Amino acid sequence: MQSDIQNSDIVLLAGTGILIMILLALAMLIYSNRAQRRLLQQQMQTQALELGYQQELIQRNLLTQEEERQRIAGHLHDDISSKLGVLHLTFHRLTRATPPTEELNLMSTEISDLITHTLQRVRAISHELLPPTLEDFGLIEAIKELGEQIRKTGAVDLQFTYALERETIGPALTELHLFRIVQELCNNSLKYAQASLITIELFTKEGRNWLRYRDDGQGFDLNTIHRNGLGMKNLDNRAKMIDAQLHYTTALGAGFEALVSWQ
Amino acid sequence: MRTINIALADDEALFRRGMRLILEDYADIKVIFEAENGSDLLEKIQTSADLPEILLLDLKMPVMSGIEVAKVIRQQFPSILFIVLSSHINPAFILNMIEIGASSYLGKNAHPDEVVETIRAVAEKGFYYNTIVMDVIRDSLSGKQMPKHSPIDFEVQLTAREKEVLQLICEEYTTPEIAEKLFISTRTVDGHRNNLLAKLNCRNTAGLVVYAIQHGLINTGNLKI
Repeated sequence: MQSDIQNSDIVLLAGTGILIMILLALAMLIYSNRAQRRLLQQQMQTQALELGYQQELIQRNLLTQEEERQRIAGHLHDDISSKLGVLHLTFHRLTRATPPTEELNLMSTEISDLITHTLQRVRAISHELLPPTLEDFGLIEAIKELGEQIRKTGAVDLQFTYALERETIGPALTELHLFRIVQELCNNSLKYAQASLITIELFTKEGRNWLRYRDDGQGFDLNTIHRNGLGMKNLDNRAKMIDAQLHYTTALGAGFEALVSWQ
Repeated sequence: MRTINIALADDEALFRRGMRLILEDYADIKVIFEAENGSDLLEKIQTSADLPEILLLDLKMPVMSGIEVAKVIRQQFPSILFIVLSSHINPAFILNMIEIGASSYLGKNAHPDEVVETIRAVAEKGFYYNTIVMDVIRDSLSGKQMPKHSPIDFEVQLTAREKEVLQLICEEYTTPEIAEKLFISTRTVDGHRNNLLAKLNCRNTAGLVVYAIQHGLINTGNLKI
């Protein structure tokens, strides 16, 4: 009987012991799980921070790049084009003050041609940096001009329609980033898409401004390869910088569409 | 010979001086003042005893650009004609400035003889489009660029005589020449011109020509370019 009691005691004791151990193990498991989760969370936070920081860095780089382009384009105009204009006039006065000889005439034609050529080159370079049309006449005129240039290459037709006024588009920086987005999209269509038609539309709907860009090219799979990954990434960043939403729709063989909307 | 009063607006002092010295060689052209930017120009127009008849206008200027000041002048001093003299020579600039009301558009590298010729032509006819400008206007027709004016039903609104006058204006005939060609008085020609300006909603002869070409209102085959 006594041994029975002892036995049952032992069983109880052992049972309790096992239970305690199980509980302990469970507690430890939960604890380590939590710790792990906390660690993961911290890691994710740092990653998000790093990503945010990286994005800020990229955006700041983009902005610096634009400012620098603007600065150089400005200098090219103020310091070179203007002075070439003066040179042109002064040279003309010089030729008028000198009795003409055949040799002088020849040289003066050469100099005049050189001035004209240099002016054209400076103009082309500063246009590549920042189209003056964008600065002075705005996004609509700048897209028209870009369309004209693309049409002239003969490879692709470009149709541009707009149903909003320049004033509603937003500040100069918005116009600039939107123009760069369009420029990059056109580049992609020309380089990778083998498109024959690009359409660009600017309009307002439900209180927002919209830019729809489409090409009829071969498209690509958004999930696998990002064609021109860095370029596309920059588009996202530019959109973020002006608080715009940017969505792509494309699939292999189904053309490409980008939809930008902003307030 | 009557004197054409000119004002120069350019931020580059040496350019203004050079242009003034060149223009001074011509007895019929007188530079009445210079300005270094748009707001300086407005101030001088407001305080000057004589209004300039024609303005040689640079576009890129600090404080107030040539583009901005051109819009103000169009509104406040519609009698002043302006010739753009810019280092920017591209279709967007040319079309936009002509739409604002430029009577002519020249590059900074234009030969001074061409500048003088343009000043005289603008003084006489109100506008002067050289080959570059005409090509840009024509290209804008063939391209997808749409003129900003709303199209009107030309057939209904213009009389046959008005169409004739419009055609001759675009062919760069002066008012006395048009009068002679159509056997009417110069006053009648001016009357038709004013009607055209009102009906087509244009500010000056230059605008009339652009409108006519862009809307295919005239036969461009006869244009002297």
